[in-house]
Amino acid sequence: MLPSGLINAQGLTKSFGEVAAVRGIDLTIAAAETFGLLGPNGAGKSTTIHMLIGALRPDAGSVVIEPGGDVTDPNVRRRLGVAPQDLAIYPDLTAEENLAFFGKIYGLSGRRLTERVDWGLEFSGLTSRRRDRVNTYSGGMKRRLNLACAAVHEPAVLLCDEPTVGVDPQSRNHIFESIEALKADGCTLLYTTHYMEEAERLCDRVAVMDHGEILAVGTVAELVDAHGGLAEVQAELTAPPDESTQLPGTLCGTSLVVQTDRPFDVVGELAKLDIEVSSLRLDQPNLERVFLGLTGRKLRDS
Amino acid sequence: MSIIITLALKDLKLFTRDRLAVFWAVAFPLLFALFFGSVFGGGGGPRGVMPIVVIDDANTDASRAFVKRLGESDSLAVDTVESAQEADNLVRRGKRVAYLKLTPEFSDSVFALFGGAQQDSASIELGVDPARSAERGMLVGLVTQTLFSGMTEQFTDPQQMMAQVTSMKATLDDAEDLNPAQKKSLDQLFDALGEFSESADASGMNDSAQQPTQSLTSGLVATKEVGRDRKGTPRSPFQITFASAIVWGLVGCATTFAASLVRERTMGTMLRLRTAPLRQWQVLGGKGLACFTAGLTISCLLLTVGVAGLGVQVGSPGLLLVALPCAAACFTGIMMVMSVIGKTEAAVAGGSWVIVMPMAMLGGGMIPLVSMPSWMLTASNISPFKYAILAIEGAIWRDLTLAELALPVTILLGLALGLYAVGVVLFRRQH
Repeated sequence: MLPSGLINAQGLTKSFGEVAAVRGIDLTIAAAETFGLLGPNGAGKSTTIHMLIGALRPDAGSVVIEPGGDVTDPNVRRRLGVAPQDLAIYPDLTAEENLAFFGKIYGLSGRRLTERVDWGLEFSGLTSRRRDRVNTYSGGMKRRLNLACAAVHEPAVLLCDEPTVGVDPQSRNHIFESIEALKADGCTLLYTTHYMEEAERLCDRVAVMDHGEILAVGTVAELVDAHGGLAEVQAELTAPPDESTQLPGTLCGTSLVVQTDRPFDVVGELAKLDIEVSSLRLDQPNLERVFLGLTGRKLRDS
Repeated sequence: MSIIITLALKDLKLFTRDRLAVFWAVAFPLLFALFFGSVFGGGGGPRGVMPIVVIDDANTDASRAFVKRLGESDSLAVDTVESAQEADNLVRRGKRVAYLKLTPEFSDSVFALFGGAQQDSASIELGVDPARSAERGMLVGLVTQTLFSGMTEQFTDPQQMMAQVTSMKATLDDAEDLNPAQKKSLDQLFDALGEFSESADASGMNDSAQQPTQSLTSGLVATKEVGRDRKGTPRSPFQITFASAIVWGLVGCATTFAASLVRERTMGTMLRLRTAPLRQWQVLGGKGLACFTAGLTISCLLLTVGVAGLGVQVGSPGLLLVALPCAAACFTGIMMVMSVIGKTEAAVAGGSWVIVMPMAMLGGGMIPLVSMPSWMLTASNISPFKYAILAIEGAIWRDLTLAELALPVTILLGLALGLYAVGVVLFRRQH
């Protein structure tokens, strides 16, 4: 029995012809949680997301968003916000017009609409460009507006599908801060990305997905503990040590590599030995290593 | 309903900001109407003017007067050259339609047609390309008309008439090949003409403010104005071309909004709309309402230009209020079908024209229905273009009754509902 959450998906399955895109996955996302969905291209992330928001009908399984239930119900949809990977904004409208339009179709009007449009412009850092058409914006500005349009109606659940693709570091940082602000306001976030540092920074829990299946779910620390492997200490010696010197790990010429779950103890041991070290590097296990460990290093788009 | 209006207003705003769409929906139909209206003879400038050149080898008062009268014709642009060679070259190179050479024997005497001077009179050589048979016929007619207008002038001017009579009497006196009886008869005729001219002069006929011809013919010819019966016929070519232009404007709207529906899908905004608290029929309804409104607005705009700028008369504004919405609704249905014939904007745009062009060719979008051969008119029954044009023309110049308009209007509405339903079903299947 799965724990009850704001979003509960059970046995989601979807095939396109012969290709099984999603193979019976279960997901539970708690209220106010930021949940990351990681996976290489073609892993089934987008298909899963489209089923979660009701844009695709699953072949089998169900999605329930509490309270309310069926994701195809307009009252449930009113509490969802979607920032698709493709820029889902109108290039020939201004930022203000885009925000107002998406606010209106979610039922906002009058003063409330004006307030939320102003909020959206502030949120996306586009107040000074509010009356410029979107087709005059940079890629980063469009990405920020894409996110603001998804959040203009104050959704309880916000889905962000790779919201930082192709943006400059400043815009990326702005998007991070915006998402952290939404998170602080209690918004439940479902976040997909290829960038591990984004998931590490923003997500409370992460699911790694490949070949239409969820391979692992947990907090970043839990995943690293379970799938990250050992830390690695790499030391470069100034000269080959005496044969009598007992070194941990593997020595190749003057390069020493030690894999351990207690890297700092290893560094202490090296300091006590009669060797001179020219450089020292410590690699802790991280999410990227978890990701590559679970999904492999083989290219997926070749 | 407010959601559908919100969606439609967004689409209309996008439409007005798309220059290419505005060109196809507004500028192109307008140019179409203006161009073909002018070609069919509705131009405001001089039309049907034939450029000719004249060589005046006679160089007499009569010949100069003839050339002057010829130049006053609205149908001719006349200039003169010195040599026949030069005139011949101008015609051969196509610079002029024809040349007229007035030989030294040229005369426009009243009596030139009545015997004695026949060999010497109206010696005019007309040089014209044999391929231009229509122009040749028209030109002969215009030259003859000009000659007769000169004679009429002589008849109606007693002094000129007297001079002619005196001249002819002198010629008669000198004639040696006539027997006395013939001489006497002709002498009596000329005397009678002389007396008539004197009495006309005395009565002040030539001082009249009226035109001489009118004075001479008044009482002899009773004129009666008979207005042409124009019921069911176009008053100007623009009445035909503007009806077609309105339908082309509707086509422009249909293709634009069909492409915009595909663009929504490819851009991702459709995903946002589909995950919003909207029903699919509302999304499609908004697109349909925008297409219908744009079509109707553009129809009114084109018609306003036609009425205000080119004198297009609307026979029945009331029927037009029925015809235009029905035509706009039909093309909204066509738009819906067009939007599902491809998965990309380019595919839909290309496919749309593949659908539209045969419809236009058959249905009167290119060849006016009034000019179609009967077999083509029969074939045009399968094209929605025909019914849209027929309904609009019916209100503008065909003088249809409401009952007569009912057939095309019913077909248009039927197509609107049927095609829209087909489009919606295919759209839902695609999603």
